[in-house]
Amino acid sequence: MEKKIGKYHWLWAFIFLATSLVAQEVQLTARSSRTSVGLDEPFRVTFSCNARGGDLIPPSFEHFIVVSGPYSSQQTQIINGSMSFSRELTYQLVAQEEGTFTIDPATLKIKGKEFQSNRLTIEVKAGVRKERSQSVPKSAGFEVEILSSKKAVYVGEPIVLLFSATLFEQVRDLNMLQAPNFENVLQQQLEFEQQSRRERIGGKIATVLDFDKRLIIPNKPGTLGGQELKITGTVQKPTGQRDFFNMPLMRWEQEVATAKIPAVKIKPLPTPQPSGFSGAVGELKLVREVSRTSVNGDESITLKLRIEGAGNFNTISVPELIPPQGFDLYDPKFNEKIRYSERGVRGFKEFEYLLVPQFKGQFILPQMEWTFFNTKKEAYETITLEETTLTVTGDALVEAEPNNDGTSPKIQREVNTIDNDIRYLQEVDESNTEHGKSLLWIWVLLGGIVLGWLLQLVSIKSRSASPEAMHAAMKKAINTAWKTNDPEAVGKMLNALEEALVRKGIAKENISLTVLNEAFGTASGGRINALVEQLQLALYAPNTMVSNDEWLNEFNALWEQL
Amino acid sequence: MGATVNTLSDSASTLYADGQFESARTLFESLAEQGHSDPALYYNIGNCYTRLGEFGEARLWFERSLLFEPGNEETIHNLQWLNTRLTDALPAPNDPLLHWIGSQFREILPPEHWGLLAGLFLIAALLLLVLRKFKTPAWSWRAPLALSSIGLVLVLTAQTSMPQSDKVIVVSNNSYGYSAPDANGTRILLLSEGSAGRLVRATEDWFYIGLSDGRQAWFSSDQWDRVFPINAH
Repeated sequence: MEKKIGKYHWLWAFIFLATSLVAQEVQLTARSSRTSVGLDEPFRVTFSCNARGGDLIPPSFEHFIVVSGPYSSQQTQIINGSMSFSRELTYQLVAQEEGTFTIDPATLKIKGKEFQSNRLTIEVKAGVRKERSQSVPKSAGFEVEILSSKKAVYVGEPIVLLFSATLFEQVRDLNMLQAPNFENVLQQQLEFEQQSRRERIGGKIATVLDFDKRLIIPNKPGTLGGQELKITGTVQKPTGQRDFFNMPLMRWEQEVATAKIPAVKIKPLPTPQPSGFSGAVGELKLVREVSRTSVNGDESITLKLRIEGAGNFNTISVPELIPPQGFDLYDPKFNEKIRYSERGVRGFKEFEYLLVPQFKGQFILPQMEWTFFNTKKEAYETITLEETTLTVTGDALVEAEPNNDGTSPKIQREVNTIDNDIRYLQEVDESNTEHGKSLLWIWVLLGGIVLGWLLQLVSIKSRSASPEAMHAAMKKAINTAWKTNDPEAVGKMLNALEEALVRKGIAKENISLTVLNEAFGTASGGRINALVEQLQLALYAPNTMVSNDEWLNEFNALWEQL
Repeated sequence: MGATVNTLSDSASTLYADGQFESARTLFESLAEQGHSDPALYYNIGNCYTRLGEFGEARLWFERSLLFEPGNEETIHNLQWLNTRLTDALPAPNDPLLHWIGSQFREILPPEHWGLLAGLFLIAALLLLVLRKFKTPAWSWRAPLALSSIGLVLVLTAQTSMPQSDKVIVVSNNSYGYSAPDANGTRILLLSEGSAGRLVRATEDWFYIGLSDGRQAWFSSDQWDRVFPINAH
């Protein structure tokens, strides 16, 4: 019974607390750990609300950088039967610039309703300028700076920037909060391994960490500018208290350090600029390499035109070759190899041409000039590539005719010698319009032939089945048997005669001179009767048989009548 | 039609002789557009293109001329002359066997002459068959059979000798080959003017072409032209 009462007691308590919570009004507040901060001084902004669900959306923190966070926490309190709930979202911020700024309210969306926190106003003051000096003791845990390889450069001249942090205390979680955003430059991150060393600075031993290296090429005169570099880290600092063993107690504090963009003067290129100048700046060379200066007619020449050295290769273009006459020039192949290093941008850009001789003779590879700004001499420099004579020999090509003024020959693709020219026009045949026309009519004709043969075959078949055809076939068979001395030739001939007479209506047993005379007339009847009797005699008394071609002739003569 | 052909052809020849190759080419090509299919006409167009320095087009028209008249020495000479100038152009792959046999027959006689011969034999055979059937059945079947057989062989010869070609030629300065029919695709090779290949497959804007070195790639059809059928510009 007691258990039952206990169960109900907790149930009632839960219902009561839940009802009181639902009935509670939603509150969302924003608070800051400080309202006045130094430029690189981290501070906390906390948003708290008393509602359990919903999405808490922080503001954009314009003019500030989030150093760490958000950290979220929540707690439930029951005091004298009254229950309260709160949850918090905390950000650690650092200001980007001096001034007074407002942090916009956070928003809580719950069950389709929106609640907003209060706004915060933060005053940002310039902090104490921290100079790296051997004499000034450091109060900050670490600082950062950007070191430039040059203090003054010309437009297009590369500069190397080294990002370096000096750590005076134990520092952990060192991160780049804001990368420097240089203006009006081309930027290239160099391959670089972080290096650290120990140095004595202001009487203290500090760790100097070089963590990044960049190559920048300014493209506008003025001063190097842009966004500052900010890094953040957690610094170990003494609390001023000591523990039971008299050891100092330490705590970890978040710090931010800022590095200004180094003051580098970017000088404009001297004016007036030479007419042939195309923007190349550096310590450069223009090189023209010819694989050979004397070739046979069936060989070719490889010509390389290259710019090499150190300079603004990203904007340099190799000048176009002035082609020599008497050669066919093919589209060039482009080669380049560019390396970004602490010494600047080094490498080469190259066009590789293929020259195929068209004529025999001597040809001039014309003189070429190219102008660039030499940063070492701080002056424009023009490189001149002298004329080169190319000699083409071989019988395969014709001689090119020199010009009247003695200059290099003016060449056309036309060749004047008959042997090396194309043949002249042919006469167009006006009636020649049927080439490749369809041969349909031939196939129709072929169809007619097939039809003709089909008709013939029908005819042959019908003829082969007729009595006439059988009659002729029988005669042929008898003749063959007789000529081949077939022992049954006599019997076959007698049978053939008897069958023929049967077809004429004279039965075998009725064959007689009288009947035959009646059927075929006296002359033929007598001859048939005589032949039948001779054959019968030969068949039944073979010894009396005498091979007689006259029987065959008689048979052939009578067969037609039968 | 005959007078027009003669007039245009003569005018084009005069222009050519005067060195006005572009005008001569236009006139010759207008004849080809009218459907006048004469190897001499194609040869003349090829000559005009040669003089204009457009060697890809020149090769195309010489190949067309040779397709109809494979043994023409002047065309062979001009094509050889051209090939010595197209040093970096890929040669054409070998013709399929049937096309090669056809060209051999065409070298002996044009297809229409083969057809005419076949027709004569077939008509003679047909006459004999008709006579044997309706007039003199005693005539032997051997003669019409022999004539029919010869006629049939000649028909097949005529059909085989009909011009056929899947050859295509680069007519622009150069042409990039892609791995897929897409201009944003990967470029896998570059061919220069006058290079030849065999058309394997064609879409509206792309040719899939096999080359003499065994490679195959997609090329923009704008930069190539087919040797046959003939489409004058």
